Amino acid sequence: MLIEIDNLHKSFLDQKVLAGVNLFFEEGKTYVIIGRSGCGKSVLLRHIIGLLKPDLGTVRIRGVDIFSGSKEQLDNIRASIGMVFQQSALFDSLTVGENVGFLLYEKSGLSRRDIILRVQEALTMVGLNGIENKYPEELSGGMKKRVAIARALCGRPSILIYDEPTTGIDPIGADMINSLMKSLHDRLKITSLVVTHDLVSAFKIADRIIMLFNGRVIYQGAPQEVVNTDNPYVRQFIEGKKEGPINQLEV
Amino acid sequence: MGRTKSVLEYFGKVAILAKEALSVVFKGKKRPQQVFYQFLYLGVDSLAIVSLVAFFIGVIIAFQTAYQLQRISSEIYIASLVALSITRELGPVITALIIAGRSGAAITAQIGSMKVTEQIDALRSLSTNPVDYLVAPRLLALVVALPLLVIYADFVGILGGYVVSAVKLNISWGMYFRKVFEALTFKDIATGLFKSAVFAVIIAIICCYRGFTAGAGAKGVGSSVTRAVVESFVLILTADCILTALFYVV
Repeated sequence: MLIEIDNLHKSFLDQKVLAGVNLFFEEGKTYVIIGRSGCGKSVLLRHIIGLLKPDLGTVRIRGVDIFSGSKEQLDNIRASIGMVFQQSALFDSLTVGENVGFLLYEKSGLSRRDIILRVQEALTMVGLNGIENKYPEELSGGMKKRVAIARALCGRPSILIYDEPTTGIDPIGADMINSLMKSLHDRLKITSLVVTHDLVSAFKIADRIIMLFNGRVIYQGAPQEVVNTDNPYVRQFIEGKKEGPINQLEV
Repeated sequence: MGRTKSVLEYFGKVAILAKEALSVVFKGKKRPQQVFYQFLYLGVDSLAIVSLVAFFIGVIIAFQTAYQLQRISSEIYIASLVALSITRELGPVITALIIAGRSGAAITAQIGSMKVTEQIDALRSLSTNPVDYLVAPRLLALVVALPLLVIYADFVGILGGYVVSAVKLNISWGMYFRKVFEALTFKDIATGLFKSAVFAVIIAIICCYRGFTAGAGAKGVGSSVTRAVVESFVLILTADCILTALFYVV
C-alpha cells in the first residue's frame, strides 16, 4: 500500500476537524476527496505531506510513519510528493522558471543547465512554453495553477496532491485543468489525491471518490458506484440539495 | 496567570526561532545572493531616511547644547557632547528604531503575506526549511548592515552638529573635529557597534516571528506588522538600557 492513514484525529482549539479517519491509497490511482467546506479535506491532505501533526493516529507512506521518522526521512518523503496548493502558492519574488525549478535548485545538486531543461520539460507538460522569465503576478489564475502543477511535477514525484485545483477558475479553464490532471495521470502513472468541490472534475478524473463528513470517511467507491448509491449524505451532496442529513449545524 | 503564561510562551517561541536561525547562519546552507539582496533592500535602501534623521538629531542636540554652553561660555565642548551622545546612544538606538520601522515592518509584511498565501507551506512541501530560506539571510544581512548604518549615522549626526557649531558658534571645521576625536574613545564606538548588532538580531527575529504567526487576510498581516514594530521598539530600548548599564555603570 502506498499511503495508509490510521485513526487520524485533529482538533484546532475546541473544534474537532478529523475524528478518526482511516484510509489507504494504492499506487497509480486517482482518488478524489469530496465533502462540504470545513469537513477536513484540506487538513487531511496537509497531514499526508507532513505540514500538520495529528493529535492521534498515523500516516504511513511506503511503510514509513512520517511523524516518527527522522527529518531526513520526512524530507525524502516530501521530495517524492508534489503538492498543488489551493491558491497556487507560487513564490511571487521568483520567476516562473525559478518557481518550477525550486526543488531542484535547492536540493538536487544538478547543474543550472540541467535544471533549466527539466523546467522546460515540466512547463511543456502543462502546455506553457516560453514563460520562464515571467513573474507570477503577470499570469492569469489558470496559468498560475498550471505553473503550480509544473512545479509539483518538476521533482518527478510519485504522488501528486491537488488542493481544490479548479477553485476560482472559469469553467473552460477548470476543464483544461481537469484534462491536464487526467492526461498527466495517464502518461506518468502518478498516484493523485485531489480535494475538490467540483463534481464535474471528480467524475472526470477519479478512480475512487471518498466523501468526508464531520471529520470521518462516510463513503468511498468508484464514480459509477457514487452515482448509483442510496447513501443519503452522498445523494444530498451530489444533487446539491439544501434539505437532507447534511445541514449547516452539523458542519 | 494566563497573561504571564502567554508572555513566557512568546519569549520561549522567539528564543527557539533565534536559536534555530543562528544555528542555520553558522552551520546551514550559505545563500550569499539572498544575503546580498537583503543587505541592499533592508540596509542600503534605508540610507536616505537614516541620513535625514541622523543629520537632524545632530542639529537638534547641537542647538540644545549650544544654548546651555553659551550661558557658561564653554561653547567648544559642543563637539564632544554631540559626538558622545551620538556614538554611545542616539546613533545606535535611533538607527535601530528607523530600521525596525522601515525594514522590520517590510520583513513581517513579506513573510506574513507569504504565510496567508500558502507560500510558507509550499516551501515546506518542497523540503525547504523556512527558517533556512527566509530568516537566516535576513538576520545575517541585518547584523552586517545595521552596524555599518550606525557608523554612517554617527558620522552624519556629528556633521549635523558641526553645521550648528559653525553657523551659531563660529567654530572651525578643524577645531570641531579635533575636539570630537579627543572626546571619543574606542570603547564608545565599539559599544555602539555591539549594541547595533544586538538590535539587528532583535529586529530580524521579532519581525520574522510575527510574519510566521500572522493571522489570515489583510487584517491579520496588518496587525502582525504593528505588533512586530512595537515589540521591536520595546525590546530595542530594553536591551539598550541593559547594555548601557553593563558597559558604563556596572
